[in-house]
Amino acid sequence: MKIVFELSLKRIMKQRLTVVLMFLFPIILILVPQPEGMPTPTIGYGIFGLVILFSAFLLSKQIIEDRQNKTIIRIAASPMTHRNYLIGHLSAYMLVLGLQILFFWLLSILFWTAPIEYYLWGLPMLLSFTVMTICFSLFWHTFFKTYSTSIAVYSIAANLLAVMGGLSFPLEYMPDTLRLTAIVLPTYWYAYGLELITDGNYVYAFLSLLILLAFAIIFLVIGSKRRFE
Amino acid sequence: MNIMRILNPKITLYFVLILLYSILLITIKPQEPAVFFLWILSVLLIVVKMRFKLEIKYFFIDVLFWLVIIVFFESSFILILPSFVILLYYGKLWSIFPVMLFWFSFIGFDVETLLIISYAFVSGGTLHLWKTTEETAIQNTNHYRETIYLLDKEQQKLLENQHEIAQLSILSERDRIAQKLHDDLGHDLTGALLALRALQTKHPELIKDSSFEAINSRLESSVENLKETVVNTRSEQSYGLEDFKNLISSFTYASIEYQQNGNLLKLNATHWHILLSVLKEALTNIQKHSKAKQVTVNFLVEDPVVRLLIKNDGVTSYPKGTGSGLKYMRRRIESLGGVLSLRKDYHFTLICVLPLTLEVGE
Repeated sequence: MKIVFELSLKRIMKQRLTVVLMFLFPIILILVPQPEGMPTPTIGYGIFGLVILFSAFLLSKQIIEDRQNKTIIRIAASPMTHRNYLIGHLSAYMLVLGLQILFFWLLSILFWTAPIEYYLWGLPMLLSFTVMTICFSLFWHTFFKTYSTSIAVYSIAANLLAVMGGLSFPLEYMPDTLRLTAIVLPTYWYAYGLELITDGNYVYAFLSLLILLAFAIIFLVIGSKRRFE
Repeated sequence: MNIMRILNPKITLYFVLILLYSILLITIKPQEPAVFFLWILSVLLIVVKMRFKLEIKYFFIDVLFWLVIIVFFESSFILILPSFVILLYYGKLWSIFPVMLFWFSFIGFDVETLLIISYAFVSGGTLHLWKTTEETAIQNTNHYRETIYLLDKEQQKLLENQHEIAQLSILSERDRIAQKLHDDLGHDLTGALLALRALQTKHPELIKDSSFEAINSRLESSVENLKETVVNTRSEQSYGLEDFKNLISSFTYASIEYQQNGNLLKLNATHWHILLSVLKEALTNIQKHSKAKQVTVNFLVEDPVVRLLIKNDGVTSYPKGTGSGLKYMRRRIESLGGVLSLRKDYHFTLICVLPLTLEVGE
């Protein structure tokens, strides 16, 4: 497991452009001024959710590439278990994404203004959303044979998820009919959780966090099934 | 891709569950985080159980869990229905009673819930029937395949037997001819030669007679030729009793006692073939499945039957699933008008009885 973890990290480091962009986007995002009249940077955190959606997907491309190059068959023939392979990879992604959200979180504290409770609740919310996106990427890849097809469809799906889930605009502007559909999307619960933190409704915010983790487990359970093709 | 191969009860169950969860989502008030949390928890529990193919007992735990939740959140009653569908799918029809009981006790009758329960009941029940029918069809197909396989194997064995019996017949016929040549013709020729020698002793002048000399040398060469022919005709390959005794002497697993009675000349090649096969099978089974220390082989030919008895003092029965060789032997013996029986007391005894005049297959 440790070997897979280290190898996965090395492979991530080879994706230099991705790593640079992962840490560049929070800086660009932080430079956008907080809208006046808004007590918390919910929109900034929401758009950062979109960045996480793409970052997790770009990192997890190793898994679909291993399947595409038939490396997974060679791994299956080795003494390494599929469980260790997955844990090694997913924990490497979690580490890199964890650093990214920590970087963004620190920048947001420095440059944006919000009550301290918002930041304290914002970090676990970001973490649970990151866990969910990693598992979602794993789940997403199971439906595709090649990385190019997967990313082509994902680029549309992720934008839809962000728009319908309310990542890029305040949820209060979302029509009620759309909200009824949006509740099945995990992105909605991230945006909703951020709104609840702003309102100070921490019990429901905690429930949103749990819902995100429940989504993560469902995606992980389905996505962890070993596929060779 | 063939659509019928994709559409099986299991895949349809997934679709039914997705539809059911969609209906449940519309029915409950999912905008409430607590309600949506319960809904997603229900999805999570089902997904985990189906992904890891957990046993049916875990679905009962699920039902119990939801029954506890219902006490606090009555509206979560319908979240029990996916587990109910799965229980019905696995044929647990009685699960409808606790569901109905809780429905009337906690919720009370309403048309909306009735429709959802009906959907769950009908879909679960139908899928169960479909699954059962498909499983029965698969079982039947497997059974037919097995029968065809066994029949093929039996046919192959019969062909092999036929070939072996033909070989045995050739060998026994060659032996019979050699015996006849040796006993009858050899006896006569040797007698004639001895008579000629006696005549020569009585009348020594006959040695000078060319005709006498020619008769003598012809007779001598005939005797030599006959000896050579007898040796060449007699088969080098062992069969029959010889084979029988070889088999017994090569058995070293336990001490073996051999008894033989009656006129063995009455047996033909088919008898020898069957008896040898029975002995071989019995000794192999003793070696494989018993802890025998003493084996007795009793061979008796008494008109109108020949009987072979093999008795051992070890483990006295064959494990289940074995004995296909004996099953085949029994069928073969019965087709020839014989009987193969097993007796189990303090010993395990196998008795094969064959008529001396075989009905078929000679």
